[in-house]
Formats: sequence, structure tokens, C-alpha cells
Amino acid sequence: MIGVSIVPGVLSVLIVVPIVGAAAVAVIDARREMAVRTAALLSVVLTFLIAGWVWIQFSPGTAGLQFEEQRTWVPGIGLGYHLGVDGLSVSLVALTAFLFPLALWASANQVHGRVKAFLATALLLESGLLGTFMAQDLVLFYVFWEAMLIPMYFLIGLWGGPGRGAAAIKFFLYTMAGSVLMLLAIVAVYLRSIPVLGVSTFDLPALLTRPLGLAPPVQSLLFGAFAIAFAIKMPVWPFHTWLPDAYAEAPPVVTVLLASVMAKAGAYGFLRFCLPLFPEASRAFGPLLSALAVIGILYGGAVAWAQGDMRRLLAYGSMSHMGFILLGIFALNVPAVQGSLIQMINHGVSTGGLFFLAGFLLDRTGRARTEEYGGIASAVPALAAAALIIVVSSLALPGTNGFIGEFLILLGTFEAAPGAPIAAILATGGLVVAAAYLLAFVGRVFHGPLREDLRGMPDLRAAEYAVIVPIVLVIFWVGFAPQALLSRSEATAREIVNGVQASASAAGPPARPAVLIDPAHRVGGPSQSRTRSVVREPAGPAGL
Amino acid sequence: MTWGDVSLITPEIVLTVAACVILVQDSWVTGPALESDARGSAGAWIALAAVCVSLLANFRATGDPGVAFGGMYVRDHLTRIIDIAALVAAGLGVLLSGGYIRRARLAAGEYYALLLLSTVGAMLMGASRNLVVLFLGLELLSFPLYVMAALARRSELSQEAGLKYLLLGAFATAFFVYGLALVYGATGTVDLAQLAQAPASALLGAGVALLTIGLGFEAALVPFHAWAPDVYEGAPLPVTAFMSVAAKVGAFAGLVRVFPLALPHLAATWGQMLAAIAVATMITGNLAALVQSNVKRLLAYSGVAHAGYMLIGIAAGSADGTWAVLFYLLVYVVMNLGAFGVLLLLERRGEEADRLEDLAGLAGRAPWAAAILVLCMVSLAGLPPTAGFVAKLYLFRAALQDHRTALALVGVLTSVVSVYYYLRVAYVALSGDASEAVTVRRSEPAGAALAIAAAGVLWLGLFPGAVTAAVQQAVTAFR
Repeated sequence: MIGVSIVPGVLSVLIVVPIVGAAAVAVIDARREMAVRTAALLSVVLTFLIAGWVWIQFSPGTAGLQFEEQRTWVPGIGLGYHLGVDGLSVSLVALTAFLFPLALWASANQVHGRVKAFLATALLLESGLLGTFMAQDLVLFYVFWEAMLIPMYFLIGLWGGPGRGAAAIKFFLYTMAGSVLMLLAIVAVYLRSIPVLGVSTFDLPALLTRPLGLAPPVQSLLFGAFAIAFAIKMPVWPFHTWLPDAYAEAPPVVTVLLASVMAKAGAYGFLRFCLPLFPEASRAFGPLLSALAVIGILYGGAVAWAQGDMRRLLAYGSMSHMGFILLGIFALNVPAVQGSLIQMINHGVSTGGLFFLAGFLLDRTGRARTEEYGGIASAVPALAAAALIIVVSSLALPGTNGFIGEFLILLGTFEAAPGAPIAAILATGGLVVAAAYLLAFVGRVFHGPLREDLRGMPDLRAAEYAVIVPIVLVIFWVGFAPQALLSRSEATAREIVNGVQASASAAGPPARPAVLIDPAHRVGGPSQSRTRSVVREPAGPAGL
Repeated sequence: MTWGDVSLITPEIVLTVAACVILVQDSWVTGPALESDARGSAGAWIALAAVCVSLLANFRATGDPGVAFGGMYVRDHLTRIIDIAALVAAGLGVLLSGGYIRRARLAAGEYYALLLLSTVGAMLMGASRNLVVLFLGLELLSFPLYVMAALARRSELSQEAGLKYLLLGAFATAFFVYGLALVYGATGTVDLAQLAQAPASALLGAGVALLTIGLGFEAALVPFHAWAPDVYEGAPLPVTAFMSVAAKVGAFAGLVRVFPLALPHLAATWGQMLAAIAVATMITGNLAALVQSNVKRLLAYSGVAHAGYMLIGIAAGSADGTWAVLFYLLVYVVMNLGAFGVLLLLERRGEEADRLEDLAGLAGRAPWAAAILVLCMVSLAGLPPTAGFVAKLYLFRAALQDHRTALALVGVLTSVVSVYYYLRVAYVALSGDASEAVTVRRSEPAGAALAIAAAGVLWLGLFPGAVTAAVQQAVTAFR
């Protein structure tokens, strides 16, 4: 049980502030809409300030957890309440906290009816998302992972478009079907802790201190159970079929949260759990997942290009971009993993920006399809300029945030292994496809002759500048000075990669994978990792 | 019978005496009328007081197991957990049903007296150290339920439900008695503690199988579940609510006493049998619930499904499986009564509002009731951060530990199926417009019961440590 007497750590505060905000929103009279909105905004802004403080205070260069909090939760079975951030999660926490104020602010114009319930649900979602990125106990992670589905289900199902009910339940059943197997895998990993560690624990850092000694078939099964859960969430082709419905039916601001933050939880899961817990299986299945990533990049891009519905176009485009992140993760070397980490942030900002813009357009005209627009750049020059900047960042042009991430991913993939350059070349083709559909989007909506019925369309309002300007600033800030992001993720990325590769060297020749990187690129000196890559049991079960 | 024996069964005595007092007081006030409008019946308050006293007696009791009546009755930690589950069910049941009983002009005195007696039956099953006492408890649990199901004298559905329940129940109890006889024939004893030394034999196997039928009927395990949907639907709503949890508490108390505790040495045999029943129960219950449009029937099949989940813990045969079942029982009591409690607030033109569409627009009229309904549905579906998730986690952990991967797999996959119908209920309550015909009847006792249930669901979901330690102790102390 969580002791009441102990002062909660700053990460607990991050989780609790939105919940308190939701409770405050729930007790305020629904007729006092201003008060309801103010309470909600105050709590997300406070969350952002705390998350920003954590991000600034985070000391780069160390791989381990910082701001750690650890307490027993259910001692009887080894459940712990363990929070912490490292290079993997600190920027994702900041991204989440950054996007929520923007989304709730934008919702003022876009969500009408039952505002109070909407805001309370969104606040609970934020709490779940932040917890997902900070939990270091397997069950605690699963609790947040599943708990965030419930508010998301209601956000889509109650405030979405005409097909909301079906889209919401489809989203829920898909993601839940994926994650229940992960729950069993979590328990299976936990049961290994008794023979290996001598204590029963769900604590991730504790489980990583020694290899779990899982037989290869078992490890493959467990890896698969985790991987499917994360693949559905990202989503990875062919697990993406829930995505277009959910993205297109959700209220626009909720789509922002789905695409920018929730999708990252899947990618994060691969890095946090799959790679460290199942290094051998990660190497064995790496090529398969890389192939799925490339298919996703090309397929998502091609389908996006063919979409007439603005948000479906962006949805498939988002899926295509997520493919790059997956590709980088399973290149299993430091540059690519770092590229993936930074690309998660970039994708969150850029895709979020695009969906915000789509929401602004929908709000003005109610038109969902791109061909119903045309030439509006002359009517709304500022909106068009913002769209162009965000599209360019999404296309990874140098000077914007997207460039550094995709460059690192492709660089890493080229170096990854024999055969991997083919993946990298195909993925580069994905950049061309992205240019095709994104420029088609800009062309169809903003350029060409202005449609008469759109002549009087209002340009960006002050309230909308408040959403777009921060996003544009982040785009250029990361584009010109990515060092702040890179330095925070570097040590952790190196540790994850070293952990996976170390298991290969311990495994002996037969298990040596095809994706071992050139040693010259194991950047930096000796591993700074926790004991995991050092402590090896003599009869290394990894070689089984 | 000594004074020590009597003091040990204080919780049961309190309830029994209270039941008698209620009957007398009620007939004093209402006279010969069958449907009286007299407001003087103090049944609810007497019942509530008795439940509280009995609960206090349970909490106050020391940890040492006490045996009474020549070793036929045992009061240990396990008894205490079962008692608490049964008493919480009774207490919440009493608080929730007051308004309905008055509106429907049901016989209040009989209702509360029977409810208390049925609770005593469930408690006795948890305290039995002898198959005959177990049988006694089973009968004491189910006979009041038969009568309560038929309590609405003017409703044909209710009469039909009572009759159906009585006939099928009598049939199932006959199996139980026959099984008891066979066990005695095979081993020469009906003492559960001595059964642990009994050698395996075909006769013992047959006897145990027949016992399973009797208990499986009460727990609504497939294929002995056929009564549940009809009886749940026909019985008056507060009776359905109480029955849905009390019968489960009693039946699983019996299953725990018979299988993991009395027959651990034969676990290899009955483990397979119970695992098969669990799989069939989880699949049937969840699939059938998918197509229900009547909430009472939906919750009936959901009850079947939950019996299947709990049976995972028994089939695992381990101490971990057993305490997981106990935890699940406690969770099931609060979350299921929370769900029924919200239904009890609604009324459609003087009748029960038990159709799914009657819930539409509830969030607009009674936001807190809707929120509690959603919470209970989320918990029934086994989603975090509610108690239902922790309870299922414990069960699946026990199953995997015992290498019953198939059971765990069926469990999680059917949980995904169940999400569909539970969330449909929640979704309907939160969306749409309220029907003119449906009214919300607020009452303080019901509100208090709902608040307690919701707090229980959250507390057991967020801070399950203390209760987990208690149920773990209940099992280890026995060994």
C-alpha cells in the first residue's frame, strides 16, 4: 500500500494532478462552463510546467532512471509502485504534457455539448498516458496501458463523428485483444523471477539484472505477446485496420492525442520491454519487424495518397511515418534507435500539428474531404503558411525537426546488417511517397482556384495561433538545435542497444544474428549499463 | 454442545435471531394483510443492525481457528472471509432493496427474514468441516432464495422463476446428497478433514462428481447454469441482485472446502474435470451474454462467466489459486451489487427498467449513478484500475503458475469478448436521450450502498494490499 505519510515524488504528482483536475471538473456545476474549462486548463498547464521542470532537470549522459520512486504496492505477490524516467521516456512525458494543453485549448471551439464530461475524461486520459511512460513495474505499466483505453473509448464513442460507436468499440477490442496476451506474458516473465532472482517481482529493473534464461521457443512466444500488443497500438501493418476509423471518427483534438501520444506508447513499449527483456528474440524477429515496418511505410503512404477524406489521409500518413520509427528500433544500433526516439517526438509534434489544422478546417466548413476545398490559401494565408511549415517538417526537410530523426534512422538502418540497406532504400522510397500525399493534400486544399463558397473563410484566430505557434516553434527548435533532445536520449539508447548486442556475444556463434552492427559504430566507450550486460550466468541459458 | 460452541457461531446466531424478530415484528405491524401499506415494518433496520453486529463479531474475532460441534463446524480465517463476503452482500442487498420493496408492495418482513437466513446458509457453507454441514448450508442458502424468487405474488414471471428454481434446485441437491452417500460409502467418513487421507477409488470419484453437480448448480457453472437466466429475469430485481452474489459466495465456499482443502491429494483428477467445466463456463457465459438485450439476463450470463473465471482458481488446485478465488468473491460481491444497484434506482411505468434501452441517457439525469454503473461495468470486464482487474490478475497468475496455460488463455480471450457487452451497457448509459417512461428513484440508503460499492471497487483496485494479505492468510493458516 502506498504510505500516506510519505511525500509523493514529482512523478506521482504528474499523475495525480490531472486526476485532481478531473475531480475538480466533475464537481463544478456544468452550467458554469468557463469555470469548468479554467479548472481543466489549469491542471494541464500545471502538469506541463512540472513535466517541463523534470525535462530540464533531467541530467543527460546517464542511462539509468531518474526521479525514481519505489514503494511496495501489493507485497504479497511482489507488485510494486515504481516510477522513473530515463532517456527513453523523459521527452515522451514532456511531449504528452505539451500536447494536452493545446488539445484542451483547441477543444473549446470544437467540442460542444457535455463539455464537463469531455474535459474530465481527457484529464483521466492524460494521467493514464503519463503513467504508461513512467511505470517501471510490469503490472503498473499494464494498469496504465489498459486504463488509458477506457477514457479514449469514451472520447471517441461519445464525442466522435457519425460512425463513432462502431469506431470506438473496434478500437477498444483491437487494442485489448492485443494486450491481454501481454498480460499473460507479463505473468510468465514474473514467474521466472522466482527461480532466477529468488524473489517474486514484477519490477522491470530488477528483472533485467540477470538474464531470465528463457528457452528460445518460450522467449519467442513471450516476445510475440508483447510485440503484438505494441504493434496494434502503433499501429504496424497488418494490425492497423482499426486506425482509419478511429482517427477519422474521433473528435479532431482527440485524433491529435491518438496519433501524437498514444501511438508513441506502442513504439515506447518495444524499446522499454521487448528489447531488454527478450534480446535474443528481438534479434531473431528484428528482420521480420523491419520488413513489416517497410511495408507499413510504403503501404500507408500509398493508401494515404488515394484517400479523399482529409483525416483518413493524415491517418494513413501517420501510420506510414510510424513505420520509420519501427524500422529504427529494429535496426538495433545506436544511431537508429536514437533516431527513432527523436522521431517519436517529431512525429508527435508534426502529426499533431496536421490534425490540429484538419480540425480547424473542419470547424470552419464541416467538410471532411479534400476535394471539397480548393485554393483557400488566398482566403486564409496564415493557416496555409502554418500548414506548409508543418507539412515540410513532416517531410523531414533539413532545418525542421523531422530531418534529424529520419536521417539517423536511415543512416542506422544502412549500417545495420547485410540486407538491411535494401530496407533502407525502400524506406527512402517512403519519403517520396510522403511527399506525394502530403503535397497532394496541400495542393488540393490550399492551392488552385479558390472555390467561391469558401471566399469568406476566416483566417487563424488568436485562439488558434495559441495552438499553432508553439508547435511551429518546437519544429524549428528541434530542427536547428536537436542537441537537447539527442543528449537526453543517447545514453539510454546506447544501453538498450548494448544490452541486445551483449546477449548476442554471450550466446556464441550459432545464435549470432545477421543484424550485428559494425563494432566501430558502438559509439562511446565501455557500456554504462546496469549490471544486466555484465552479469552473466556461467551456463548462459541464452545459448540454449 | 458447549458454551464455547455457541459463542463460536455468534455471527450466525445474530442473523437467525434477527430473522425471527423481523418476522414477528412485521406480522405485528401489518396484521393479516398480504400486501400491506403499513409503514411500520422495521425489517430493513433490524436486518441492517444484525448484519453490522455480525460483521463486527467477525472482525473482532481472534486469529486462532476454532472448531465446534464435534469437529463439524470450523471458524478459521477462511470462514471469516466467506462471512464478510456474505455479510457485505446482505448489507448492500438490504440497503438497495428498501425502495423497491415499498414500491412493489412486496412482503417486507418475509423478504428481509429470508435474506438473512439465506446469508446464514452461505456462511455455514464457508464454515463447514463436514459434508453434512455443507449440505445443511446449501439447503439453508437455497430454500430462502426459492421463496424470494417467487415473492412477487402478482407476477407470473416471478412465480415461474420460483418454481423453476425450486424444481431444478431440488434436483441438484438430490445429486449432492447422493454424492455425499457415495463418498461415505467409499471412505467411511463425511468429515472433510479425514477425506484428505482417503485413497482414490472409482466410488469416491463418482461421489465427488455428484457433489460437483450440486455445487455447480448453485454457482451456475455450465452445464448446470440453465436456470440462471430465467430465474434472474423473473425474480424481483432486489432478489436477483442478492441471489447473484449470495449463491456464488456459498457455492464457491463449498468448492474451496471440498476441492483444494479436503482433496488436495487427488488434484490431478478433479483438476482436469474442473478445468474443462471452467472453459465451458467462460465461453458459454460470455458468448450468450453478447446477444442479450435485457440487462437482468445479461448480468445472469455475466454471472455464469464469472463463475467460470473463479473456477480457474479452484482448478489450479494451489494455495495461490484458492486465495485468488476468495479475493475474486469479495470483488464480485461489490461490483455486481453496484451494477444491480443502479438498475434498482430506475423504474419504467411502475415496472422494473431492465431493458438495455431503459438505461439510455442516464448520465444526463443521474450523473453519479451513471458513473458508478460505468465503474462497475469496467470492473466486471476486468479492466484496470478497478478491482476486477486485480482479481483476474491473481487468477491468471495462479493458472500460469500451475501450468494451466489453456485456462489462462481462454480466460483472457473471453475477457476481451466480455468487454463488448459490458461497455455496451456503459455506452448506452452515457449516450442517447432518456426515455420519458423511465424515472430515477433516488433514496438515501440506496445511494449509500452505491457509494460503498463504488468505493470498494476502487479501493480493491488501487490498494488491494491489505485484503490480499488477509485472503493469503486465510489459506496459509489452513495448511
